[in-house]
Amino acid sequence: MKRRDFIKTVAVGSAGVALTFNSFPMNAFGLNSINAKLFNPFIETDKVLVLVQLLGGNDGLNTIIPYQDSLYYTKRPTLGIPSTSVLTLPDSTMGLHPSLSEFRNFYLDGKLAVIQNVGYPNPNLSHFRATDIWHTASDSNQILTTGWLGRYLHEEYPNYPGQNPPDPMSIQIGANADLSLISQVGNMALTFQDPNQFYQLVQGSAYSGYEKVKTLAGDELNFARKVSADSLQYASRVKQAADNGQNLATYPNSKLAEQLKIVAQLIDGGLQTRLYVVTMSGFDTHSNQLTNHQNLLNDLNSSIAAFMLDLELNNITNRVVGMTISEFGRRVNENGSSGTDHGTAAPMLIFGDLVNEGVYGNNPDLLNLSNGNLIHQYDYRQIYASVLKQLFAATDQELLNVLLSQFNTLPLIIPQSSQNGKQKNKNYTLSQNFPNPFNPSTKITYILKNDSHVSLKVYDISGKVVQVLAEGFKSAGQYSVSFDVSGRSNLSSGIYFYKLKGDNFEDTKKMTLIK
Amino acid sequence: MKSDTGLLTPYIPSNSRPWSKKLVTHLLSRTTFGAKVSDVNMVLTLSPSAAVDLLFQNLAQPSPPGTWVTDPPDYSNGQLNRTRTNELRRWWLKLMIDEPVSFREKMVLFWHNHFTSEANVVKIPQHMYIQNSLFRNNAYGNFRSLAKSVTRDPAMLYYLDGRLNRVGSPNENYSRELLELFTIGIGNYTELDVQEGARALTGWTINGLVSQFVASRHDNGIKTYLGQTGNFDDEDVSDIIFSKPETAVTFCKKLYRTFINQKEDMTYAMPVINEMADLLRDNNYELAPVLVTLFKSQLFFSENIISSLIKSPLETMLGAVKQMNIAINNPNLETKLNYIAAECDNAGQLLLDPPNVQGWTGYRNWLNTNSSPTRTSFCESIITGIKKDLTQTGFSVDPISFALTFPLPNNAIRLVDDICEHLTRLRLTPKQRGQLLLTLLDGSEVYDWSINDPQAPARIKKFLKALVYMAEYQLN
Repeated sequence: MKRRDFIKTVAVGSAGVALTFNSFPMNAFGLNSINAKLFNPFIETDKVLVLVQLLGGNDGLNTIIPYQDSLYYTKRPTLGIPSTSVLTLPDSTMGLHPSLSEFRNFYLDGKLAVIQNVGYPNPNLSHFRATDIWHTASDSNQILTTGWLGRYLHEEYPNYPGQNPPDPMSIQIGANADLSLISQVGNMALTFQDPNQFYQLVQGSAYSGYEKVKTLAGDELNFARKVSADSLQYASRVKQAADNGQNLATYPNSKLAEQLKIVAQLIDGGLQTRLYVVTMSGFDTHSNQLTNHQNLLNDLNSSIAAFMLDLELNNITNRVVGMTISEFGRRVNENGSSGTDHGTAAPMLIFGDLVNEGVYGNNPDLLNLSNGNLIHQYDYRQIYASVLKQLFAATDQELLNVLLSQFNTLPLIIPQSSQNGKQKNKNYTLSQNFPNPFNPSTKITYILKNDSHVSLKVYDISGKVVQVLAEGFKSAGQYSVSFDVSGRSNLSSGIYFYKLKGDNFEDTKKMTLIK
Repeated sequence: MKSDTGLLTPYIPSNSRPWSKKLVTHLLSRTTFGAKVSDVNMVLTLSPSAAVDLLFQNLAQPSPPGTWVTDPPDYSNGQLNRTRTNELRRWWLKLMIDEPVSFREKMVLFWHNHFTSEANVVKIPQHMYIQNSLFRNNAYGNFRSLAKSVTRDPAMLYYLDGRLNRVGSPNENYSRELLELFTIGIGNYTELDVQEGARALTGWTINGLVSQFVASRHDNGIKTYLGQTGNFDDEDVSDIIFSKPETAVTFCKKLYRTFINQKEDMTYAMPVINEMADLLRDNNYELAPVLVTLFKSQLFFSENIISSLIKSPLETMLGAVKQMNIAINNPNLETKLNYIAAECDNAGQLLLDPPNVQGWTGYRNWLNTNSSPTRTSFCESIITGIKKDLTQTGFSVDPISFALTFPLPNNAIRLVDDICEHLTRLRLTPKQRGQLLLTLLDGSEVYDWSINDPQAPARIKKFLKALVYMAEYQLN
């Protein structure tokens, strides 16, 4: 939905304020403290999308693993992840790479959607062309110079540049801004590596409007001035948010974690930016894949886990959705260098409290391949459309302008109407067990508002069923059951999950046994 | 030669377009890492043609960064390898800074960004040094023979997995990038060509500091590659690629974008690019004739393309050092060079470690809300001598001796105009020059200006700071 109306109320661009830095007079777009008052935070949605880019082409088959398909092991004789170490997922015949233990917890907690076989027709196997395709949301053979996020932000902020929103429209943490964030009117992203350093840097930078230069240099000059103006306008706002925000989780020591830490801090600090892009590289595993990929997924796993915990502890977890993208998956057959060459379709992971959890789509078809590569089931633009529509309430017309064709959506995000506290289905309640932590016994209560078949099972951390607490048809009402580990010496201290499943709902919660 | 009658007609100075400091600075800014005032004055005494020839002068090969460059590779000592990589990086930066009027290091960087390798992936700095020397020895040599050498270069064999590519289990990594990024370009080959090329390229491995062909690892079968069929090897692969006219066109497009202009829509430039490509093929892929013709052309010196490129971080930062006549020497040479390398990194260009095999894409990607202030704050720091963290840079402009390199340092208006021309080439508007003049005068009157005034050094610094803060300074 557009913010035209409230943006219209103040013309920041023309309300230039004269500033003097280092005795050199200059005009600034506006002072941020003034902006903040004028733009009394009015937003139609406070949702935030964090894109996690896995550069190099993540191997989908070794991330979300078809471990029950013997063809997988035939085609991956040395790289196949043994089924015994795959982290199994309840209700799915796919499993997770052993490094993705936290993603498994997200799944059990109902915070992870896996969309299988995402790609597009006539896939391109060049890193750079494929990256451009994903960034611009183009067809395989179509060259576009603007990105999908850039075009979306242009829909939302049609008067930028000139009448600029008070907070950056999007932020990319890093040294570069991606093509995805370029719109018809230029770069829509604020790019920086660290909020405080950024603020320090920008002190004293200049912006002045001058006469037009008629040679080719004129366009470049305008471009350089716009960049400079954006830095100046947003640096103090970003610093302010960074100062207000806090990180309550401990992050691992990695580049991805550093970026996510900043994102969490800025969201918590009240920045109204709704799009963040973070990046992780190294996924081009042509050789020595087992170790390299394991390290990469370990980093991804622990960094995202810290981020999610941070959001939870800061009580902003119901505003933020994360999504991984990668330019392609990898060849089904491993190559001769203990690696995999460039491939095509691959799974995307979407995580957060607002996610409609589950594994979407069929398991990868390892038999019917195209030149040794997987054939896609979902177009990646369907995922873009779903997220823009369900998270940001983009209208159909906006989607058409952004994605240039119509794409069917998948129900990946919980509808706005039921986003509060993730009460997706009001026909049941599953309470937290009491006491928790417990030893040896704890009570679990659930409420059914309609008659339903239910099952209530306890799982250990590896996904194995430890006990069935309820199974069968139940009429509406409140039920309490006890989980008792007396005499079960094989159950050790640690985290367990209990999952309530009904006719059209399911829910999982975590509990801790301390012996 | 076609260029005599074609679009690459030589530039001949005339009354309407005289050979001027501005055109000299333009030439040197595009072909070197920045021009000192003394360089500009010297080149101005030459004809445009002689000036370009001087840029292609033969320079002696520099002595290596250390005796370690011949040590056998040690993959297990990551700390040592990183230390030496930093040493190599400083060595190269120093070469760029100290280079006399020469095009060579600019081309070494061009090749580094074309036949890309990342030191952090290659791991062995000796291999990076060998590759760097290969580029230097062939700076404006033969494109085809350089491509053949790169195919067997140890750093490249490591970086794009050629060493693992063997009969029966091909690895497509190098085969793909050779076609896509290094030669013929996307759209001119098929996925099958990538696979068949990989087979033809099998057999090369790394043995210590050199590459080695292991016949038993080579695929001797029949391959079909870009429409030809035979038992091809790596040399055949290059010969076939270079038999295709598209290869020269794709490469000349890159030359054009690097040295002339990077407008997104290239259609208007295609006639010139095609002419360059013809010239390249007519000269059997020797590069010098093409570049010499290009740099001597009316096109190169036309007003329309002046300052139409965006400087890279290296061009910005080394350029500021050289343009303002700042020497980078001992004491603490290492610290100084590390500071430059680190700031270039912060602005998106860590020498020897491009972001990926595509290299730095440059142009507008150089400038964003992070890199723009990073570049500016570096330039400010070498004017004031103080970094953002308030520590000393150890090197900075000497404002008075810098002013004295201009003809009329005691004329404030001329001094402003001359320094603006030296640092930006774009003619600033009267309003801009007026503001800059006010900055220089700092409240005093024009007729009071004298570089003997005790306030003069501080005022010149303030003026230079204001100048490097202008968007014009980001352009090349």
